[in-house]
Order: sequence, then structure tokens, then C-alpha cells
Amino acid sequence: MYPTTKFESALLRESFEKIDHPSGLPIYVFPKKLSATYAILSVRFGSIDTRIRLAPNSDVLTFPDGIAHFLEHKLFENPDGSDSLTAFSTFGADANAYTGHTRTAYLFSCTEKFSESLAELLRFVTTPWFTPESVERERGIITEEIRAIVDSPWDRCAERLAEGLYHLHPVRKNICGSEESIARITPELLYQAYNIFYQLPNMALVVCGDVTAGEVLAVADKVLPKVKQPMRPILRVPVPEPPGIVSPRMREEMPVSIPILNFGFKDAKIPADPVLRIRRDAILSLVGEVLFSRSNDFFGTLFEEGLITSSYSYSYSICETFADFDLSCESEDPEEVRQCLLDYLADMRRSGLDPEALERARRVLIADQIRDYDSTEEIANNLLVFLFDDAELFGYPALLASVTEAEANACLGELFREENLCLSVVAPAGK
Amino acid sequence: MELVPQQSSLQNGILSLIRTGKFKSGLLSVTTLLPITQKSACLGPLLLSVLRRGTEKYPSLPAINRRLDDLYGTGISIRPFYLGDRLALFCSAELLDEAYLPEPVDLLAGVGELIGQILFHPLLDENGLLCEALVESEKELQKEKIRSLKDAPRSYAYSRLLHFFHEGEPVGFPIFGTEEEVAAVTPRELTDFWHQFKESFCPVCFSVGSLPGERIRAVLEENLPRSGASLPSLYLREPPLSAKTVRRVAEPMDISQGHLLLGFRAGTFAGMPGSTAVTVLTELLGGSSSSRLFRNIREAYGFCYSIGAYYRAERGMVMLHCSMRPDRRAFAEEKLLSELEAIRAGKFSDEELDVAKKSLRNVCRQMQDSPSSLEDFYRFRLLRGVDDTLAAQGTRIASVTREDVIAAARALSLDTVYFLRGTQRGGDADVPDDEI
Repeated sequence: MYPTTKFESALLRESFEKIDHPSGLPIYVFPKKLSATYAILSVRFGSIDTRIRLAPNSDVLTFPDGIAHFLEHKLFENPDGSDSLTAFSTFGADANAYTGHTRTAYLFSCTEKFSESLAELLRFVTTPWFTPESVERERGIITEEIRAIVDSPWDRCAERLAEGLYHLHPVRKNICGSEESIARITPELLYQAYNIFYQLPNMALVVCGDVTAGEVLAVADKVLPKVKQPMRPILRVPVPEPPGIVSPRMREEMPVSIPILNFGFKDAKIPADPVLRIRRDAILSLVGEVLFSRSNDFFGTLFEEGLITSSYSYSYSICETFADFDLSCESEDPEEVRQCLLDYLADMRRSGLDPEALERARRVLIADQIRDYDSTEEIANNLLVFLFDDAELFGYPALLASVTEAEANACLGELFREENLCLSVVAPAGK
Repeated sequence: MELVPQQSSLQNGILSLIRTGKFKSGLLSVTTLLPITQKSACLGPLLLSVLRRGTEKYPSLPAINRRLDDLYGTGISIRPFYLGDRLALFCSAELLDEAYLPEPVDLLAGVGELIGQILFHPLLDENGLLCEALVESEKELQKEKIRSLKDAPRSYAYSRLLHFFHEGEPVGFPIFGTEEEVAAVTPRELTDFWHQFKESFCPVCFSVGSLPGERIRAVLEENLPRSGASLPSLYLREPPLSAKTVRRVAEPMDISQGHLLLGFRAGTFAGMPGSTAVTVLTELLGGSSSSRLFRNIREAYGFCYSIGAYYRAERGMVMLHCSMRPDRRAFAEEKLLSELEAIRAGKFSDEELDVAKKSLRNVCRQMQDSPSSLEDFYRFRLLRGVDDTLAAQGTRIASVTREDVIAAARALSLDTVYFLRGTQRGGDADVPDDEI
């Protein structure tokens, strides 16, 4: 038996196990009686990881923007000329991958032949193979992916917002990189990045479905090394991010029917302690729900007055090096919405959050948490987010329940201020 | 164990129930069908939007939303869509299973009441008309929705393909109407349409969750009216099975990519012989990242990111699409067609066919995990009068032979070629299109 930790939730009536595999790969198994089993193997290597040192005093290695995403595209190719997507298909599994700011993930879902698919996932992610010809072909594919983003006004608006909020932090760059940056990516650079980041202790496997830990470990034991390799250090070199935002307003003209607005509040108070960081996430998620829910005054008034359309969303996200609260909407009069937002926030700071609205928001967010446990995909991805941020998945509903009015009002006062606010607008020419 | 709905009559309509403790949140929906006309395509969506804005008991949008929050964040989706030759007006609620509530609350009763309020107790003025302010506000939003279709180029290209492909058919009317049609709607006209909706109301209700059928039935009977209408057939006229000529349309747009869509008549449609073979053919061609379009075009030539094939079974349409640099348009079309030709000539392996069938059977089984997927699958079959299950669908897929697939490929006839030509990097003019 390998060292195993069990996690249980009475509220959710769910449990999962964490197993320390001898190869160094942490494995999480979440049993769930659904038809689809979902497995995701992820590495702590995202688009922002472009500057690192291999030792405390060594030179800084700088990778071109978009290299994590490029690597994700290329990893499905095998030394024998086959590709793993086809292999998954022969097992009837549906495989995919994605790259985020802080991680890359490879995944599949299946309803049969789970062990064969899991073996393929573990094997191909641990077997890099890059050739000049295939890298060149992939450059063309990724170039078109970048152009699709360029043609999307919502993506452009979000990109402009990141540029308006962050001076130097790499989160301001597109996850795919740019046509210029990916032009510099070579097989050699891909191997170098792979060898640095794709170390098993820097990864995690999450499996959710009608499987047992024994089934998962039987595959892992066959495919992965028997002995843990010492983890080579990965020293991320943060670019010191100046306080404050870059610009209160960003603007781009595109042929859209109505201006698209992204408001962002840059949160500079990111706790170094993961426990406090996840607590801040809970507090600000709750505050955001109170302030911007479709059942409350801000949305209600602006929508009923015809100032915004029904296209409206908001979210808070936080990780170790960046955090912001975003609010998206559409309006013919971006400046009027901005002023309404600032006036509303000033009122809320003065009056404090309505305790009744706070309780309603708490009820909604806890119910949302429970609903998330109806999908193996949702469960596995949520678990991954929490474990990569050293947070406890099952603890989140209790965190939401424990947020006090005083904490919520304190965070409201800290974050939702004009000096932290950037408004990004994509608008038709002349609007 | 396979989840299969039990059907019974409800008022003058149908109740379809899947009772299961599998999920932490359940689904309760009401669909009603109206004929598609140029008017109803515009009025149906507008009516739903106005109804969602306020009711007698919950007189504003925030009031409705607060009620939903009080019902533990129950989500309500109200939307129009085409089903067969009908305009479906759909209202669906996703509600938490009562076993997970921290206190005893009759969520079902609350949700049923709210659905009834929204559909049948709207805010009316002193003349019994839908409130003018709400109608005018929603007209502006619907016009904006029509304009904003262009903001997402790929989806816009798809909507344009459908427009040209279905010209002359009921589904050829754009579902929100045109800006001019929306602008001309009066509160009186929309109120009359609401009365028509009530008179022809014949609920098709669907429920997935752990609650007993008697409770669901009682709540629906209490909140939905009975009318004299009976369930309409899905099709007034069956979709055309083959194309007479090929229509080519290109439209310019100030974007960097080009979006090429080829629309084929499938020679069959959902529930008809040969339809399962078309499903397998489409999967083999471009349904996944192991499909021929993905491997033989995207991966082999590296000139596109988005490529695939799609079977819109209820309309008997197969679509192949590719997004790429506009000056590669002719090359893309040639490659898409050559992949289809290869299938017609039988140039595909048994392994490729097996992979496509496995992928589809995987999808069938995964639909068992999603209440809304179950609803989509069974609602169509129920209204078509087809006795079918997901397991039976899986079995039919497994029995499709290579000869079936070849025959399905040969039966496809190209109807419409639509190209949305990005002009930012210069588009090609190597193919004669009727450029608009």
C-alpha cells in the first residue's frame, strides 16, 4: 500500500483519496457512480511560466510566450509516427488538452476501456517527441488559433483588460502567445521546457468516475517509474509587478454591434499563505455575488433602465501571483456605466453590504457548490484547481459559510475602488 | 442501469419522467410548440423575453431573480428554438435535489409556481396588454441580438449557411426575425400572440430527479392551464432529401480569417432509414480529433485550426466546415470534398469506421450523465412518435456497416457553399460566388 489520505464531506456525501505514488506523481481518485469516467493529468506549467532559474544563482532562462500551449499541442505525437488522439479513439475515449495561465492539462473521458486509456495518457505525456517538420506544421495551426482569437471581440476585450491592469506580469499576454513569439519556438526549446517542467512531482493525476484506487494504481504501477526521481528545482523568476493599474481605460475598435465592456479590479493583496488565499477567494466570490448578482440593485437598475443588455457576467480569480475581479457587460454608453458602477460602489462602501443579501448570496454559492458534483469532468477539474493551489476542495462550502459580514465589508472596501479599476472597451468606430 | 423516461398524459399534453437519485440537481421543463411563420419567428422569442421580465406576483426581473435565489439558486432558462417544423418555446428549471437542502423546503412547489407565473401571469396594463415599456425595452434588446450575430464570425457564418440552405422552408425564417420586423411589433400584437400561445398551449413536460411522479404531476397541474389544443406533429413537410443545384454565396467581413461551410442534403433525416449511417459517416469525416478532416487536413497541412463535420439530423443537413486564411479557401474546399469522395469510393479502413462507431457509442452512454442531454434526446423522439432509447441508438450505431456508410456518403448532395471572407489580410477571388 502506498501512503494514502482520505477526504470526506458529509454535506456533499462524497469522498476521494490522495495517493503518493512511488514515482513521485500525486494521484487523486474520486469515485463517482456516473457513466463517464474522466481522467486529467496536469503539470504546473502555464503561459505565465516563461522566466525561470534552475539554481538560485544561475542565469534566467526566458522562453517565448506561448511555449506551454505549443508544447501541449505537440505532445500527442509519438516517436513511431502515431498520435495519441487516434490511440484514445480506438479505445472509444474522447481525449483533449488545454493550457491555462498556471497549468497545462491532458485529459480523456470514457465509458469503457478505462485502463487502456489511462495507460495511454500516462505514457504519451511522459514521452516527448518533437521534429522540425511537425513543429513547423503546428505553427500554422496555432497561427490560425491566434487569428480566431484576434477576430473575437470578447477575447480582445479581455486581453486589453489584462494589459490595462498589469504592467509587467505575463498574465497580460495571450496564452497562445503571438504570431511573432511562436515563430521563435523550435524543437530544442520544446525539449528544454519539457525537461524542466514535466517532472512527475510537478504534476498531478486526478481520476473521477466509477473506478477504484486499485484500478488506477494498477495502471500507474505498470507505466510509471518504480522509483521517484529527485525533483530538479524550478525557480520561477517573477517580474516585479508595480502596484496599481496601468491605465484606467483601454479601448479597441472592431466591427461590433454594441460596445463590449470588461471592468477589472486588480487585487494587490494576495496572501502568500494558501489557506488565507482560498479564504480571500471565498470572501470576494461572496462579495461579488452580493454586489453584482442579477437579483440585486446594480444589475436590476441598469438593465431596467436600458443602459446594459442581458449579456452580463462576473467572477473573481486568484492565484499565487495575480488576482482580479472582472465584470463584463454590453452598453451603448460605457462611460455612463462606469460612473454608475463607481457611484454604486461608493454607496455600498458607505452603507456596508446588506446582511440579507449576504445570506442570499451565501445560499446561492453553496447550492452552486453542491451542483458541481453532478459531473465527473467538473469534479476532476475543480479538484485540480484546488490541489494546485494547496487548498482543500471539500472545505470550500464551509469557508463560504464562515465568512463574516465584517470580513466581507473589509474586502469590499479594499478592492472595489476607482484606483484599482480598469475599463476595457471594444467598440465600433466612433462609439 | 439505463435511464429511460416513463410517459403519461398531463392536462392536454405529456409528462415524461425519469426518476433517479443519480443527480444532486434535477430538471423540470415545459416545452410548447407553435407553427413557424415569419411572424412567429419574430414574436415567439420576443414574447418569452417580455414574460421573463415580470409577473403579477414577481413584478420585475430582479424580483424573479431574487425568488430564484431564495429557491437555492435555481436556474431558469427560457429560450426559443426550432424543432422539426415547429417553433419550440421552452422553459426549464435546474433545481437542487431536496436531499441536499439544509432545511425542509418545497423547492418543486416554488419552481412550479414561478414557471406558471412567468408563462401565464405576466404584468398587464389597465387595458389587459403586455406592458408597453417592457415590450419596447425587449424590442431594443432583440434588435441588438440580431445585430450582434455578426460579432461571433463562425457562428454568424453558420447562421448564414442555414439561412441560404433553408430558404423557402419554415426553418428558413431567422429565429429572431429581422430588425424591421421587430421594430414594427406593437404591445397589442404581442399580447394577441400571447393569447394564441395560451389557446394552443399543449405542454410537453420533462422531469429528471428523485421526486415522485405524483408530486411533479400535482405541481404542474396546479400551475399550468388546460387548453383544448392537441399535440401538433413535428413536421408539416418533410425536409428535402436532395439538392437540385449548388448555390455559392460569399460575404465579406472585416476579420482576419475565412470561414468556409459546405451544406449537403443528407438524403434522409432523423428517425428515417439511413439516418444512423449518416451519423456514423459524419463522425468518421469530422466528428472528433481522430476524424479524417482533422488528421488528413488539419494535421497534415497545418493551415487551419477549426475544422469538422456536423449532422443536423432533424433537418437532414450535413455540414463540413473549415476556418483558415481566406486565400486558402479554394484549397480548403478541394480538400474537404476530396475527403468525402474518398469515403464514397470506400477508401477508409475498418479501423477508422470502428473508431467512429466507438466514439458515438461513448457519446450515447455519456448522455446518461446529463439531464438536459436526456431531455433533448427523448423529447424529439417522443414528439416524432418514435419508440427509441439511447441503448437502442448505441446498438444501431454498432450495426452500421461500411457499405451503409459508403451509401450514405453517396447520397449526400451539395446544396450550399457559404464563405465568410475575412478582408483584413486580403481574400481570394478564385472561386465564382454570388458575393453579397
